[in-house]
Amino acid sequence: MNKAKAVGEVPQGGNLKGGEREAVEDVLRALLECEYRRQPAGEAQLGALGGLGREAGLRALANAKQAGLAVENAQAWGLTDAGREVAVRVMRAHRLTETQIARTNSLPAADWHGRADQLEHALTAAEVERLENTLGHPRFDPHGDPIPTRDGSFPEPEGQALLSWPAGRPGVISHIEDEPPALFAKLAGRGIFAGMRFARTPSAVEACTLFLEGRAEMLPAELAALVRVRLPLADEGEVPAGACRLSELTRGAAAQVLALLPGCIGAERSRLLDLGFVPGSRIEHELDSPLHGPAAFRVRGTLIALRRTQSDQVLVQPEVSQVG
Amino acid sequence: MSTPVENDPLLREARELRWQLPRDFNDRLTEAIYAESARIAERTVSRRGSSRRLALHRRIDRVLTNPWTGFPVMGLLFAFVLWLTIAGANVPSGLLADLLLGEIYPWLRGLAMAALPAWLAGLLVDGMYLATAWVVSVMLPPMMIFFPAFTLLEDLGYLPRVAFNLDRLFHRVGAHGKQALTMAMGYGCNAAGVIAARVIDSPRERLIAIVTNNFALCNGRWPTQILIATIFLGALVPAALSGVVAAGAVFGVALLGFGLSLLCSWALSRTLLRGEASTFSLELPPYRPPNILRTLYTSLIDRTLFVLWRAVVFALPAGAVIWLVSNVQAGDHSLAYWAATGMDPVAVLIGLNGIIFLAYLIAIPANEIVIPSILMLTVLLTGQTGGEHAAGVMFETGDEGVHQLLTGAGWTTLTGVCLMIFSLCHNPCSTTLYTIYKETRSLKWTAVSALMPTAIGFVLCGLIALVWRSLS
Repeated sequence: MNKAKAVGEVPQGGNLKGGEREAVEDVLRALLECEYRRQPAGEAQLGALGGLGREAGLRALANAKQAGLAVENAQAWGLTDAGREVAVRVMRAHRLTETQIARTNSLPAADWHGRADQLEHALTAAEVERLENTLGHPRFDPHGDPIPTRDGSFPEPEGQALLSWPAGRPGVISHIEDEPPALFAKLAGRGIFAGMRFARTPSAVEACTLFLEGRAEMLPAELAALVRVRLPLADEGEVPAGACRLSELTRGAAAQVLALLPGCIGAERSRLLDLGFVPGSRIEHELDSPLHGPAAFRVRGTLIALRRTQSDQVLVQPEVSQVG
Repeated sequence: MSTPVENDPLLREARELRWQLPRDFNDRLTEAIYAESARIAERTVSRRGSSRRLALHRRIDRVLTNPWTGFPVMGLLFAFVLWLTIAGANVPSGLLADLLLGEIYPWLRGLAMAALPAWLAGLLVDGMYLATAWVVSVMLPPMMIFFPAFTLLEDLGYLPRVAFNLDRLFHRVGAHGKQALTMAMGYGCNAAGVIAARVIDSPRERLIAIVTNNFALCNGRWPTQILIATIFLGALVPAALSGVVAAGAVFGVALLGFGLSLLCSWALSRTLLRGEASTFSLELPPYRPPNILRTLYTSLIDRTLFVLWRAVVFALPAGAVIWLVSNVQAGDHSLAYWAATGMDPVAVLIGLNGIIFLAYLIAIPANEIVIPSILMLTVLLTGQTGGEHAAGVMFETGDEGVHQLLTGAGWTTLTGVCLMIFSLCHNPCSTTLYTIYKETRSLKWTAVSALMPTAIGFVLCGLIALVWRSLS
């Protein structure tokens, strides 16, 4: 891996034109993805991961081979150094763009991926660097995927499918697959994002039941299949007993903020932190607006109105006096 | 060649450690800052008990945002401000008109006629002075009541509660809750409302707020609404009730504007500006007892005089234009005659008339001069002279006189109703359009902001006229 090709000249996927170049870049990014996941890179899998059909995928692979970007070994494909450089740039462009879109809250979660797919081919290496600088060198994209550094460094791959996770063991969602976008949007709509802590509860039905950051969730199998999970890190404590979401706090009740959940990102997260929604703050649910609109909470002496999707992303510990 | 990271053990270690930082380390920094500042504050800040005031605020908030009382209180407050404006503006408006039109105008006219050539005297006095005098007498009294009342509500801290109450509606139509605030600004001036849309972060929702801001009746249109409602709808009922009926009608138009802005936001966020509603966090500030004197002063200086000045600046040239189109002859008739009769067939179809169209064309720079333009053109074109005065001159004083003048020109209650609707739904004034262009940097969205309300106005007025005529 340290035989990187001479820097200076930036490979742009050979001398191919528009659509073909993009297909080659897609397939190279898919190869890198397979390499990271330690999966053998078969042709069908690459076509699917690159978002291409089987035929287009094969053509792109052939083009990549011709341009000296990919090599075919026994059963699987691999990246050349030049190819890896292209793949890393495209993957960085994709994940950084997704991060940027998510942070500005400008598009619904279902559209993040599509927009990033368009932009990943358009950004030059220098533009990717600039984007990374303005975002403050983020390490993970909103799906929980690591953003490779410029020299292609990744953390160790982690996680396993949620459906194979044993009941009772606490875990953390490490990745949510964004294909197909409609299903991903469903998870995002329910406020489920990478980085949330959970414990799987045993269930008789086929669906997957979780206790996710203080709330019981039931995921049908097709949604649960998108979710990959891992063991909690040393500094990721368990969700305390009795914790719930801020949106579930009854009017008049008070609670202590435990955490802002990962669904609250970017400018909105900074704003809530600025307003005092930080762990340890005492918070009181004071008003409800008509038509089940936003609710107003008193935090550090000011009254702040939040929509329900936002108060869903605040984990709190209700005060005991309210319960007893 | 290998990258520097591979050679330097320190950089390599940093690269490894980078992936092991907790994911929420940014939050932990903020948390630590808060903990530290809370500790400092606890040591140094002493607090006097204000729990009784807080409890009072809570009780008020309960009423103002309650699912059952929140909306009625909001509507009643708004309607009350309108009623106060209509009832209170009547007398001073009449006095001002008597002074500016009844006393000063003949004196000035005599003076000018003696000293200047007839055409110049006509242009200066019959055109520019009269248009300005009309603007002042029609607009000043309602503004002096409406603006301070509105500023008082603002200063009390009530407007954020309105945004809080209405957020669900805006959320449903894919818009931002703060659009309620930009609309509230628009009730003063649409250009200000468009600029206020900067408080919305999401570009999509900001555009929606900008494009639909025109449905908030601006101060240039309130006087039109109030005058027409008073003389055409208030006059239908006994005098004791007329103020209430007129206020109710204006309130209805304002409510229609609110409904239309929701409808257009909904349509836009499903077609041209597709997307989901983003989030919002809004501070509901504590209620403050307003400083009445300061409120009066600022709303008089900042708003009333500012708006009046703008109206006067636009009224002067518009008055000249009106006098010119009414007095420059082309063939047998004046330019105004040709323009008004040319547009008449289309205008009558949607319950208006050619004069109103012509007035709206002349009044593109400022909505404030619509009514004066209509009156001037009506006097001229229908040949109703007022005693000894020449045609093309605005002379009527008081609501009763205006009513006689307009009904004499063939206006009916239908014309009044359609004019109120058209005043709500037509292109924004040129200042607002320019502001929209500056804020969006897009000719397309500027065009949409102008054409969409106008199209809606044509359709609504056409439908009203159709139903009205088939019923009567």
